[in-house]
Amino acid sequence: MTKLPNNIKWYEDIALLEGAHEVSAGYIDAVLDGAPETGHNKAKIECDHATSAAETRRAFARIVRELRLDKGLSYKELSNRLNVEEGDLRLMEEDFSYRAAPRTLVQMAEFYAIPSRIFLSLAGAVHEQSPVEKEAVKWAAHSAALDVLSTEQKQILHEFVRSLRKGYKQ
Amino acid sequence: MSRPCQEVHLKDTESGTLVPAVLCEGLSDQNLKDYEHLWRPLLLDNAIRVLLRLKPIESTPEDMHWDWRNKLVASAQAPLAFREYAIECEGETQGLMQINLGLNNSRLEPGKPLLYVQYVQTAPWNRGKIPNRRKYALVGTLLLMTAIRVSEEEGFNGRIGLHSLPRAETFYKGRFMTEFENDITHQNLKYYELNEKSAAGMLDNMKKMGTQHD
Repeated sequence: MTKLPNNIKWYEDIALLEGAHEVSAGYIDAVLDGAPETGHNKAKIECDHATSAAETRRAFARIVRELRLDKGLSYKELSNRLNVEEGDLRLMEEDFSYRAAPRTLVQMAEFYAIPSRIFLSLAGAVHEQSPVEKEAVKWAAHSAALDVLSTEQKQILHEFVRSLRKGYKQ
Repeated sequence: MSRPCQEVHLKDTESGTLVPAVLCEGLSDQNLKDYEHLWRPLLLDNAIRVLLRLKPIESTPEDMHWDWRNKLVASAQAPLAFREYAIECEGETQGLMQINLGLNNSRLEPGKPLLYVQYVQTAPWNRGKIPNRRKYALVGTLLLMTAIRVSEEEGFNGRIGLHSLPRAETFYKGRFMTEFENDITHQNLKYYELNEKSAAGMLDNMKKMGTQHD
């Protein structure tokens, strides 16, 4: 393979060149990241990102709904607990395009004892799908939507929330 | 199958001393795991602090969305064009780079090919912002020096080009690369190119300092 010098003086010289600056190059936008700019790849990646983002939003709406039902709370009761508008809570569960304010998400995460960074990630408040989001999508796709949770659904939800609390380390 | 690797040195910014590291051609599964489990949570955490206004917007990581597994998929589709490098130190991945040896033309010397640096990324702890103290210096520079050496070996005479992320512009600007206007075909990022003459000086210096070939 290509070899660089093994001379200490050379490393000291280039350390001066680098200074304290960041060194990075690439794309700044997630849509184009990871593939050469050919028409086919670009279109495919745009499509993949749009699909995964929509899936994540649907999964997040399901999770928010089931966490509320698990506590046996109505919209109004949760609204009072969190000091958040009832309408915002409805939108979070019913409108997949709705983006809740970060502070609302953090309050909700604290209420359900889920790390806020993971909750924000699930909400799509940050770019790119994390491993946790992928798990959320899988989980949401395999559990049926009901107005009242069954015992089995509760067990699944509790197991899922436990896995969220463990964070990213796998 | 083991990857070809060589010993290099990074600068420990706390002690100011050079510490041994390895530069490897090709990414290992551990490099990808380090990226996903060590780098990404730090980048994500920093982005959330920006969202919550605990940190200024300027500290948003510009590369937090990168997915190196995805980059390898693109690389596998054109294995002769793409090549990856990793720098490891103390058992952790410190920097990653993907180069493109496909058909990329010089803007400074029209008609001549160059090596295009598709991606260069250093670990969050080597940037001085996430966290606030930088652990190792030299990671990005060594990766770029590698790109220049590969360019020479592939017959491009050291010519390299890249699109800099905004916060890295200061590094390239006015040092050794020529700055072009913002490139509207590449997310409006600035394009930088190292010409043959500037590369020759660096390559001569490397040779004087003992560059070897396998």
